[in-house]
Amino acid sequence: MDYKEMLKPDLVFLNVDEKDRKGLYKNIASKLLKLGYVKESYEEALNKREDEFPTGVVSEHISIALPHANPENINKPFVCVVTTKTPIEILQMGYNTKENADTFFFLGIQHSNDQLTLLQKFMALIQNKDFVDDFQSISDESEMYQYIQNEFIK
Amino acid sequence: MAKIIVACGSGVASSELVVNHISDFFEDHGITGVDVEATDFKKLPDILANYDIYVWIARPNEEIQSIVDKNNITSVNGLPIFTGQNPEVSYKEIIAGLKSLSA
Repeated sequence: MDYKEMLKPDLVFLNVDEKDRKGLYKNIASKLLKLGYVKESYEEALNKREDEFPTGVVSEHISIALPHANPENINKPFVCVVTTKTPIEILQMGYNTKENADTFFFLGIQHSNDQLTLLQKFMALIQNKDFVDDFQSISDESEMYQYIQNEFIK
Repeated sequence: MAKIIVACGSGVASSELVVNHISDFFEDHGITGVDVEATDFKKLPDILANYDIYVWIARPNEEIQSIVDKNNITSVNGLPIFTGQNPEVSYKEIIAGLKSLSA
C-alpha cells in the first residue's frame, strides 16, 4: 500500500467541536464506521490503546496526537486528519505527561510497513515550521487534503 | 555481540522506526557488531533479559524495570530518536552503554 493513498478526501475534519478526548474519539469513530473504514470494535480499541500507550507528540512548533487501534479493528487503511476548535488534553507518548493538542492524525494501519513510512513522514512534518504554519492557516477541508497530499509527495 | 532491544506499545511500528534510525546511526559512525531488534510491550518481559541495552518508547512499567535492574541492562529513552528532536541525547546513552559492555 502506497501511504499517499491512505489520505482520503472524505477523511479531513477541521474545527471539530469536542471538549475532551473521549468525545472526540467517539465523534471520529462514528464517522469512520459510517464510511466503512473501521469495525464496530474500533472506538473501544482506540480508547484502550490511548489509555495504555498514549500517542501525543510535541514538537517545537505543534502538539499532535496519532491515535490508532490494532489492525484487526480496521477494514481498510486510512489517515484521517482532524483539528479541533479548542485544544484537547491528551498524554504524551512514553512520558505520559499532559499536553494540549488541537491536531489529530488518526492512523488506520493494516501493515506495519505502512505505519513506518507514515510515522517517519509525520515526525518530519511537525518539525518543519513552514508546514505547521501552512497547516494551521488552512480552514477548508478540500484545500487541506490537497495540501497534505502534496507534502506527502515531496 | 552486543544486543539492543527497542520496545514500543502494541501493534505499532514505532519501535521499528527507532531500530532503523539506530541502525543508520551505527552505519554512519562505523559502529559494527551490534544487533538491534524491535519488539512490543507484550513480548518484552520474556525476552528482555537476553539484551544488553533496552531502548524504550513506551515508559517501562514496574515489571520491566525490575528485569532491567536485576540484569543490569542499560535503559535508554528512545523518544528523542522517535521524534527526531535531540536524538543525540539517546545516541550518547547508547554509546555509553556499549562502552561499558566492552570495558
